[in-house]
This record gives sequence, structure tokens and C-alpha cells, in this order.
Amino acid sequence: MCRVDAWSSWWRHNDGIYKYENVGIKMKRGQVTIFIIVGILLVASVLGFFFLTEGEGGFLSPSDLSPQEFVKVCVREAVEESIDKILLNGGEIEASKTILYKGEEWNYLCYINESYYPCYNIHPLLELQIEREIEEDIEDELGDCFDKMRESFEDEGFDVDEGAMSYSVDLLPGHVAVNLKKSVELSGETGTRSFEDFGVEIMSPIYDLVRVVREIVNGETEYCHFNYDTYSFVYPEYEIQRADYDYSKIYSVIDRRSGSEFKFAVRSCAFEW
Amino acid sequence: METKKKVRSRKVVAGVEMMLMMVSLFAFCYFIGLSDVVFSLVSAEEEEEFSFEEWWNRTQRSHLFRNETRTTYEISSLAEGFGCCFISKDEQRCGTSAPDNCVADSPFAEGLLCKDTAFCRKGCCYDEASGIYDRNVLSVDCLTEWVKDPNCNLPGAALGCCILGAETSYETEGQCQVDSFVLALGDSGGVDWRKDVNEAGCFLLATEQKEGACVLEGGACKFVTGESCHNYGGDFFEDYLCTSPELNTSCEMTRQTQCVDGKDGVYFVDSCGNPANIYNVWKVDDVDYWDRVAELEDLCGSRDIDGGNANSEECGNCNRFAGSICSSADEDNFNVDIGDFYCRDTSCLFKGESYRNGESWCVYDGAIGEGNDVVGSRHWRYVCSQGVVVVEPCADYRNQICIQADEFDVNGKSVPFRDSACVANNWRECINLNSEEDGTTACESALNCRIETVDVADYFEFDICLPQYPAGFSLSEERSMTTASKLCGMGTQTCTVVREGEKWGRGCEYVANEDCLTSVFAEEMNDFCRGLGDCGGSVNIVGEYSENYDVTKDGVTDSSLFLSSSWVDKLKDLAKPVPGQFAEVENYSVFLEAAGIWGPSTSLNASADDTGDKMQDFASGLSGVSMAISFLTSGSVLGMTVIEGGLLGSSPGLSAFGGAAMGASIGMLVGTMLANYLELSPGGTMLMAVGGALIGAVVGWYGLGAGLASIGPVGWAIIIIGVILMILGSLFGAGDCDDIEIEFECKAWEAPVGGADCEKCNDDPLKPCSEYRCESLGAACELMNVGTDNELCGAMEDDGKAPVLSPQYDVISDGIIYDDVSSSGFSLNPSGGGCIDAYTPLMFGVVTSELAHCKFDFEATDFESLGQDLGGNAYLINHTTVFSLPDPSHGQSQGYNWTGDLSLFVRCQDVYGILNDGFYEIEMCVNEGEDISAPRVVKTTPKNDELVGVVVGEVELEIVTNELATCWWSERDIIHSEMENEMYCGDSFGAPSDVLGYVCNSTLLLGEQRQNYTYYIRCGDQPWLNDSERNFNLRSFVYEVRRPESVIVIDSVEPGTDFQTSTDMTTVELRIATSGGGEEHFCSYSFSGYENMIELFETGGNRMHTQIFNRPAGRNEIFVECEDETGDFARGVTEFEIIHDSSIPQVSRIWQDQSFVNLILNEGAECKYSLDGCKFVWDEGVSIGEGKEFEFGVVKGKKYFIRCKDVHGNVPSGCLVELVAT
Repeated sequence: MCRVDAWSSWWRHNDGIYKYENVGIKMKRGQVTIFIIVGILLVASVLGFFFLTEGEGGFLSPSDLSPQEFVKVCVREAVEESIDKILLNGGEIEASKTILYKGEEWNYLCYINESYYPCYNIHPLLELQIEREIEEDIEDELGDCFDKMRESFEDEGFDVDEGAMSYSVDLLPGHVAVNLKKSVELSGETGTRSFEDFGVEIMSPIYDLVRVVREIVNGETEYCHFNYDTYSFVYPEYEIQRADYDYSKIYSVIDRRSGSEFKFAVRSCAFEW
Repeated sequence: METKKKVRSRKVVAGVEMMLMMVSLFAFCYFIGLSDVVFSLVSAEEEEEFSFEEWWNRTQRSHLFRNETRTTYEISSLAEGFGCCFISKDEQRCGTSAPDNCVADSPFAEGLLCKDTAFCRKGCCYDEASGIYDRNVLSVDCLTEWVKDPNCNLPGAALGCCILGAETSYETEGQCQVDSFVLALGDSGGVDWRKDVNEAGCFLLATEQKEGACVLEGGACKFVTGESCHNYGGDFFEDYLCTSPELNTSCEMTRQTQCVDGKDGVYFVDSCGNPANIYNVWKVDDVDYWDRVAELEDLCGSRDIDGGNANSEECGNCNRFAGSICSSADEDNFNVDIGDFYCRDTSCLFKGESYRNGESWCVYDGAIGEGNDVVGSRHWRYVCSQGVVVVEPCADYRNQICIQADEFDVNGKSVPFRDSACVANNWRECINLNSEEDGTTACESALNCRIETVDVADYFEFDICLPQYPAGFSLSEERSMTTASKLCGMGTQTCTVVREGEKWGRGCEYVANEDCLTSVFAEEMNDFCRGLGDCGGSVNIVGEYSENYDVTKDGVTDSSLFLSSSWVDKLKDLAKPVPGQFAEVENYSVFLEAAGIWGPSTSLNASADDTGDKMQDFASGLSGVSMAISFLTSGSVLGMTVIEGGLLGSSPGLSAFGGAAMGASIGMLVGTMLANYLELSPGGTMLMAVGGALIGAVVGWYGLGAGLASIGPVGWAIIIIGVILMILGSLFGAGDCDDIEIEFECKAWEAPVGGADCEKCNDDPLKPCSEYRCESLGAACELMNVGTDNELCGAMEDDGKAPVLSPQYDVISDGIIYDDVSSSGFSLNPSGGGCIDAYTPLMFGVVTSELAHCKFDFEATDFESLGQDLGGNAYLINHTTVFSLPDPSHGQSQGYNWTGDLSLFVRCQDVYGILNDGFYEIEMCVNEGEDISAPRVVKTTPKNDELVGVVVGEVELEIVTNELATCWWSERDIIHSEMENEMYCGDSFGAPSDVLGYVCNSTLLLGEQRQNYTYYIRCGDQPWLNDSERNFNLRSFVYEVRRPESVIVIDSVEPGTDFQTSTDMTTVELRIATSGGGEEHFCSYSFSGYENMIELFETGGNRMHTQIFNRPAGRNEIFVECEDETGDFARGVTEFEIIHDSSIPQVSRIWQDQSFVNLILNEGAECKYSLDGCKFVWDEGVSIGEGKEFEFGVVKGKKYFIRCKDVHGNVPSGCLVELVAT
């Protein structure tokens, strides 16, 4: 049997073991064999890798990549962007009636132009309104998400069949649920797989923030006042800031745990000449 | 024969002489008696000539800018033509506007307030499924269900306590269903919503929820309530922690901590993420501490009730009520021994004083109350919120005040806790009370009002109702500045110091109001002035003083009567807050009761207002002045008449005695004239007159008789006596004893010149700057970068240039033009040439190239000495003024030396005090000529054709004529001389008491009861002339008075009957129907009685008056009172009970008959059942019908959970009945 440690054998040749040349030749053969075997294995692996992956950049087969996950990530991003806009613009994607304060436009949720009168709640059922706003805002994005998903899988050699899409957004305690349904069929050599539910939940305190905001608005519209400091005392998880500016009240409701902030304005019982 | 002739002629002469003597005796005495009058008459003749300026000072200063004392701030009044517009052109919704400002297709209701229209009515918008109910929503904004009830008193809107595992939430049942479903609590179970628990109870209920370890398959564990565990399908171990060795779960002890929602403390957390016991550094490795839920008393720091373990490194037993709450140690840079959370101290330290979390207190910019609030100041409310001092400024311009209470009464025990609130400042009502009958009486009990007693002199004292905390005015907004000028003008008053010559001396003695010549006058008047608002001599928040008043003596500024420097220093001290001073918490209970707001009132202190003993109202407070005026008036008018008729001519042929009598008369007049020349007192005048008469008599006697050379010893004796008397008389001087008019002119406050203090507004982050605050610091201060993050108070750029003046072309009276316009002035001329007609209101103005304060006068003098403000005491761009000019000929006859040509010298200074070069001259001339126009009646009070009360028997009529006149009235249209009734016209020339002219008064008697009364009034001008030289109305001014057909009555008040409701609170609409009476009906209501009525917001045009209340169940009594414009009123009352049926349906009988169950209830209801449990979602239950009797099929062995809801929505939180079918 060849000894792998040929160099140590060579150092022993003075002890009368085989000449270096003979040991080397015998060692060489073994090595070559080994190298050949290893080489074959390597080539086979490479070939096998390319054969199996088939396409740019993918290290996993489509059967391991769920289109649902693909879409969910995409939808989550879109919804989070919408939520950020909603929080910033007082319940709307684009604020409609605002006051400029500290360089920002603060959206009115309760407003009356006249002095001394309590305001009108101009955005009733705020949760439902926000749900609609998000639905409208993400509509195009949802389509884009599915388009990207389809392209991705088609590039991998799948046939993608899609049905009609239906979706809704629900503001729920602690999260926003997107109920997204679309029939998607992936057909490939390994078979056909169907997907329908692309719903996703995005953690967000917006539902709870809106509850607090509604309390404030209802207080302002009925009493021209909201005892925000007492509210914060009883519910310390919310920080409520208020500034009086130009006969309006600028409110900011902050969820202490997440840092999310809902900004809006109210004009009620203005003591204007 | 010759002797007989001599005797006969002597008899005749004697007879004539005796007759003359007798006549002369009377005449002589008459003249002696009138010596005072003659003295003053002669003085009037030779009276100093007045210039136009002096005329102006007497008239325009006191009347042009004189405030109308009745200033109302009713927000419910509408200008004619205005109404409610749904959408205006500037996209405002539901606001009051003119019709042409309303979008074409938008609904518009003229004469109505928006609250009374259907299209702007507020209602409730709701979504029953989600349990959301929003108040005060327009129907167009609601995309779901909308009802007219703005308070959302609907069954589904009732709030109750929703149990969500270990937490609770005070919300509607619908919301509870959503939350329960989401938290998987309602998956198979029901919704635990408890209607009978209030918010405080709900909060406490959370602490009572029993939690424990819920062991799931595979050794997983969650620390939840039993109910939640049941839903998870796990095994519940109450009071066990998931790390309990007995439970053998996969959860292990850790050294981590966390905050837990709904709880104050810092909790250990196990490896599964479940909370364990309160963080205690000494027990982190204690297995027993990780076994069971620890008892409260066994927790660390449980005895720290004052600090709540705030800032403890070792213990996490926080307590928000004791002053601590769980918070991140990393964020707060706190070194806690174990974990990342600690108990953060939630108390606050503010200016060396500690405040507990939740406490709030008031902070002020200076002294407050008693009219001492300084310009630019506002009240502030500071709150300690979780360790951070948060500032809540009360409304600017002091429209809100901050009140503070330091203790609360809790079950009879006084608990120290500082609480404050910003409440509305009732300052408007205080001002309005001055124009009401018994206003000062009402002032005593009015909120935030006080009675200010101005007591300067014997006849110059009055009480006035003023705000405790006077409001501020915008220092840049024109409309506000106009209102400010009017309001401050109330403080412009004149005190007349009355003097007369000393009887036995050469000087004058004061008869009335001498003290008005002291500094007390300015001090008291300035306090009055400051008490109205931002008026007069006052300081701003940094203590900078600004004068803003004027004291004149007979029309000329007299700085010796101004406030002393020590007094001004006292005013400057007002800019420093007074330690311990707070706005008084007044007695609101009366008003709360009247408004029907039930519930415990906050701690109330009785008002500490002092009421003066003198309860003169404002009008009668001027009585001292009126008396002084009557002194002035009666002397001169009477004297003039006597002068013209008093002179006797010398008649030839009279005997010596007749001559003596005549001589005596002449001598007396001579003596009087001499006395006047020497300025003697009345006593001295009399002596001179008598002495002169004696001399004159002797001279006359001898002069007409034997001749002056024949004066014998007796005659010489008389002459000597006469001379002695005259010499004695000359020793008693009188001097000039005219009345002195001291006027205090109260002006709107103006900021000091320049902008050196602007940046002081930005110094304190706890007192954010505002426009009002900034502008009060200097005339050049303005708020910059408005709306940006860099909003700051700064000084306007000083361009170093003087303001440039030009005519205000868009403001000019009709028929007048700006003529000869140049850089140095212009003329005001009629467009057709010539001069301006007298008594024509002349309106014109000047525009400056930058904000400037403009003044003018009739003499070119320095800016400070210019007597009049052009456009007001403010920095403006447009400076407008209006006044009317009298007929120069009228003035001349009254001693005024004025030909009708007039020049106004105008100067303006910008905000940095830079004056325009030279004077800007405005020239005009007034037509002088023969007055051929009769007086015109320009105003009547009450207005012509106005309604008076049904039972009113007389009308106090006041008319105003454009020139001084005397007037008469009759019920027949006849010439003035035949009119039976003469009006009282007390004004004198140059001193009209109305801004439009001269006032005459009379009482019109309304005889028999009828609906229309017509009176004819005629006047004649120039009362100082003979009738033949005067102009009388050839046609009568017709004045009509009407009565309503009937007195105002209240036809109905609703609701008037009891009714049932399904909610705790009910929206009730009070509806009052009125009829009869005048054209405007205003109603008010009260829940406590007629003493304190609350006015409805309305315009007066409606006959149906409504008001919406939010009332709890119970008995209600509402008092109503309705009044029309005549003052007639009617009262009514309504009583009703709101019955709240809160009882749930009860089972009367239940039995099973084979496979059917029969159920009978005590009231009609809808019933449903579930097989899963009592807390099922109502909509998901199986219906078994509606009514009082039910029958439904059952399956043997199954358990039925039945609930029933009556028509009012009353349903038990649990089951009505549970039965197992047999």
C-alpha cells in the first residue's frame, strides 16, 4: 500500500528502504488516482449544480420558494409605507385639510371655520376610512407584487396562471391584516402547485392609536376639550402631546412601546375675534 | 294867572317824577339783582375768541372717538342678508356668510344659523358591526349609518367593560367583539362585555383577573387567564408561573426583565417570554420566587407608597399612583442591576418644587386679576406627565384663564393634589353688563367680573363693571384694533371742574370736582382704562411701559396731570408674577345648575369680590359732569337775552330825578363795565355798580337840572360816597373763573417703538412665543417663519427711511376728491369745485409706505404734541378718519374765530420711530354763508317705526339733529309754533352729545291702546337768533311708533310628557314655540329657575326655538323665557321624566314538552341560544323568535345556553337560562 507520507519515507532512505525514485513513483500513482477521483466528483457536482439550478442567481429550486412568501414580503413593504403616510397625515394618505405647523402640514380631523362653536367630525369612522385609504394606496403595488412574482417564476421555467385578485385591509388590535386572495398556479416539470391565500399581517399599533384619536376627537367635538393629561395617566402606554397654535390644537399621539406617532389637528371653539 | 300856570306845571312834573322814581326804584333793584348776570354777560361779550382748534377739541375729541357704551359681543346675531352656507367659495363648510360668497349650487339658508339648518345639522355616524359611533358628523360625511342624534345615544354606543384575558378595555360591545375575536378569545367562547361596569371599575377589574400557567402540549406554557387557557385548550394552573418545577414545562428562569402592558411594574420574564414575578435583584435565582405568583405584600418595596420604588436599581415594584412606572433603562441611561427596565420616577421638579405625576398647576406672566394682567400675557397650565413638565397654554389674548385647586375633598377627607384647568374668560359679559338695566347688580354675581369704583371728586364718581382679567387685542389685525379703539374709548371721560368768583375776594373758588385737577384723576382713570383691556398706560410682559392716554385741560394737553413716575414704576412691577397668586376658582355651581349639568361640582370658593357701597350705574355716574354742564349752560344763555332787552335809553324832557334814575342806570352799567375791566368779584361788581349809580344819579340830577356846576354840598357828599364805594369795590377782584374741563382720553395700547426686546419672546421653551406675545414687545416685532420649525419672534428690518404718505384713494366721501396731490399733501375739494358743505360727514385717509402711527393737529408742532391720532393709536398702513365740519358762521356768532379754511398738519412715525420729513398738509375749506337750511333729524332712539311693548305707556324719545336746534312735537302736523310739546334740547353750541349731532329729548305719551302712533316733529336752528332769522322745518319729521298686535306668548314647550329610552343618556330636543309680540324672539332656558337663564344661540327670526341636551334618566324641569325686541317677555316651564328601562328580560315560566321547550318572559324580547356557552356573539346565536312566548325544538342530552334582548337592547351579560334537554 502506498504510503501517503512519501516525504518521511524519503528521509528514511538512508536506512535502506526503497530509493526515493521508486517511492516517488509509487506515491505518484496513488496521488494521481486520488486526484482523478476528486476531480470527477468536482465536475459532477458543478454539472449537477448548473443542471439543477438553471438560471441566474438562484440557489434554491422554485419548489423551495413559496410565491406566497414572495408576495407577502412585497405586500408588507407596501402596507408599511401606507401606514407611515397615514400616521403622518392624520388618517389620510394625502392630507386634505391642513394647518402648517413647524414646517409640517397637520391634517384636521375635526374642524369648523366659525369661532366659539364645537367642530364637526370631518373624518368619522376613522378606522374604516384608514382601511379604505390603505386599500386604495396599495392597489397598484399589489399588482406589481404579483407581476414581479410571476416574472420571477417564469424566469425559472414555471408557467404561472393567475386568477382575479380580491383583497381587503383590516385594522385590528396590534396589527394590520391584509386579506389577499388570488388564485395562482405554478406549473413546472415537477408538477403543478396552486396558491390562493396571500394574506399577511403587519405588526402595527395603528388600530390602538386610532382608538385614542377618536376619543380625542369625540371629546373635542362635544366639549371643545379633551383631558389628555389624565388620559395619559390612566393609559401610560400612550403619550399625548398637544400644542395650541393659531386657534387650532395640534395633537400627537405616540405609542410608547413602538414609537409610532399619529399626528392630527383640531379646530374647535376657537376664541377668535 | 302866571302863578296858577307855574303851580299846574309843577304838579305835572312832580307826578311824572314820582312815576319815574317808582319805576326807577324797581328798575334799579332789578339791575342790582342782576349785577352777577350782567357781570357775566359783559364777560361773555368780551370773551376771548376761540380758534377752530379749540372748537375741535371741545367737539371732535370728545365725540368723534367716543365709544358707544353699548358694545355687544353676541355671536348669534347675523348681519342682514347673511345666513348659513354649506360650502363657501373659500371651501369652508357650514359657516355664516353672505349669499354671494356661497358656491352657486350650495344650499344657503338666509337668516339662519347653521345649527338650525337641515343640511348642516350634526348627527351620529356609526357602524354597528365594528361598534364605532362618532358624534357631531354631517350626514354627507357619513358613508355608513347616520342618525340625527349628535350625541350618539344609541344602544350600541353604550360603553362597558370588555374583558380581554388579563386586560380590560372600556368600549362598546361591538368593539369588544372585534377585540375578542382578534385575540382569539372569542374563537369558541363568547364575548365578555359588562355593561354595568364604568371606566374606573373596568380599570380595576384588570387587576383582579386571575392568571396562571396554561400548560399546552409538548411542555409549552403561556401565562394567561383561565378563560384564555380554555380557549387555547391547555391545562390551567391558577397562580402558578410557567417556570414552576411542578409543571415541568419547557420554560426556564432567566435574568431578563420587561414591562407588561396594563401593569406598572418591571417583571421577570422566562425563557418562553412569559412574565413572572416583579423584578427583585435578590430573588433572581430563587426557585421559589419563580414558582408561584407572589403576594403583593411579599413583593419588594411594597411599603414604598410615597415613591413607588422610583429609580431603584434592585426592585421593579413600580406604581404610577405613587410616582413610578416601568421604563427602559437603556433609553434613560439608568444602571439597573439586572435586566433592561426599571421604575422611572414620574414626578417632576419645576423651579425647586416637586410635583407628582398627574398634577398640574398654573403659571402666569405677571400679576393677574383686578385688571392687572399685562399686555401680551397669557395664562399657562403646566402638567407633570410621567416625569416631564408639559406646557398647555390657555387660549391667547387671555380668552382663557388658568384656575387652580390644591386640594380635593374625597369622602370628607382633604387630599392634597394640585389640579388646574384653562377655563373661558367671561370678560365680554362684564363689558356688556354696563349697558343693561341693573347691570352693576348683575355684575356682582357674574363670572370673572368685578365692580370698579372710580371716585375722584365730589361729583366725579361712578361704578362700572369690568372684567377681572381683561382681554388682549391683536396688535396687528385691523378689525381687532378697531374694536380695541372702541372698547378703550369707553374709558375716555371728562371731568368738569366748576368754579365761580369769590364773593368777597379777587380769586375763584371751586364749586365742584376740584380733585380732578390732581394726579388722582389720571391714576383712577388709567386704572379704569387698563381694566377695559389692552388700553391706556400699561406695560408688556417685560415691563416696558407705553403711555397710550392723554389728559387735557380745556383741550390742551397738560402733562402735569399725567401719571407720576412712581405710579408708572408700580405699573412696571405688574410684569412680575406674584408668588402664590392664582386666578380665583369662582362659584360655577349656579351656572352648572342652570345648564342642567349634573354631577359633583369641583371645590368651590365663594367669590371674594368686594361690592362698593355706591351703586350708581354708569350713566348716572356722569351726573357730576351733567351738573357742571348745567352751570355752564344756564348762565350764558340767560344773560344774552337780558342784555339785549336790558338797556334803557335816555329820554329827553325828564326831570332831574328821572335823569337821576336814568343816570343811576347808566352809572350802574358804567360801574359794572369798570368792574369787569378790573376783573372784580360779584361783590365788588355790586359795590362798583351802586357807587357808579350814585354818582350817575347825582350827575344826572344836576346835569338835567341846574347843571353840573351847581352841584351843592349834598350832591358832592353823594358823589364822594359813591367814589368811596367804587374804590372799596375795586378791592374785590374776581379773576377768570370759567369752568375747567379735564379730559382723560383712553387709547388702545400700542407697543413701544423699535424691536430691541423681540427676541426675549424666544427665551423660554416652556412659554412658546405667539403673535400676540411677540408684537407686544415692540412695534417692530413680528413673528417670522410662521408655520415652520423655525418660528421666532424677531425685529422687522429697519430700512432707515421715513414713511412716505399719499392719499387713500379708495376711501373718500362721495362728491369729494383728493386734489392738488403732492408729496407734501393734498386738498379735499368737492368734485364740482368750491368748498365743502357744513355738517357733511367727511371721510378721507392717508396711506403710508410702511406701518406707521400717524397723528395730526391744526398747528405744526412736534409729533408728541400733535393732538389727534389719524386712524387710531396703532401702526397701520391705511389711516382713515371721518368727521363733520360746522358752519363757520355759526361758530363766529358763538365767539369762534374761524373763516372756514382749514389745514391739518400730519406726521407719521414708523415702527422704529423715524418720522416723515416736515408735515404732510391736508387742506380744505367749508362753505360759509347764509344758513338757509333748517335742521335735519339724523337719528332717533328708539328707531323710527320701531315696536314698543304692548303695555308701554310712554316712549322716551331722543332725536339727533345735524345742527344745534330747538324742537317741538305734536300729534298733529302743524307749524312749530303751534305744537304743544317742546323737546328738551340741552346741548350747547360746539358740544354735541352725540357723534352725529345735537340731542333733544322728550317723552311721548302713548294714549289709548292702539297699534300705530304718529308724531310730527319740527325744529328750528340757531336758537340764539330771533325767530325771524332762524330756519324752521316747513315739513315735519314723521316719527312713528308701533305696538305688536299682541304680547309675545309661548305656545308650547316640548317635551312635555314622559318617555322611555333604551340608553343611559338621552338626546332631548327642547322645542319652544312662540307667537305674537314683535318681530324678533329670543328665548333662554334654565334647569334651576328664572334667576339664571342661558340664552339660546339664535338670530331672533324663528318662532320655533330649539336646543339639544344630553340628559340622563330621571325627572327634568326646564324653565323657559322668551323675549321680543320691545322687552315684553313670556315665561313657561316643562316637566318630564326620562325613563330608562335597564332591566333585562326575566323568565316567567319555562318547561319542556317532549322535544320542545316552552319559554315565557315577563316582557317582549328577542331570544337566541348557543350550544357553546353563554358568552356567544349575538349575531351568531340561533334565533328562537321574538315576543313574550317561545317554543323551540331541542335534542336530548344537549345543553342550551339561552339569552334574550328586550326592545331597549337590555340583554344579560351571561345567560338568561341554561338548560339540558331531557
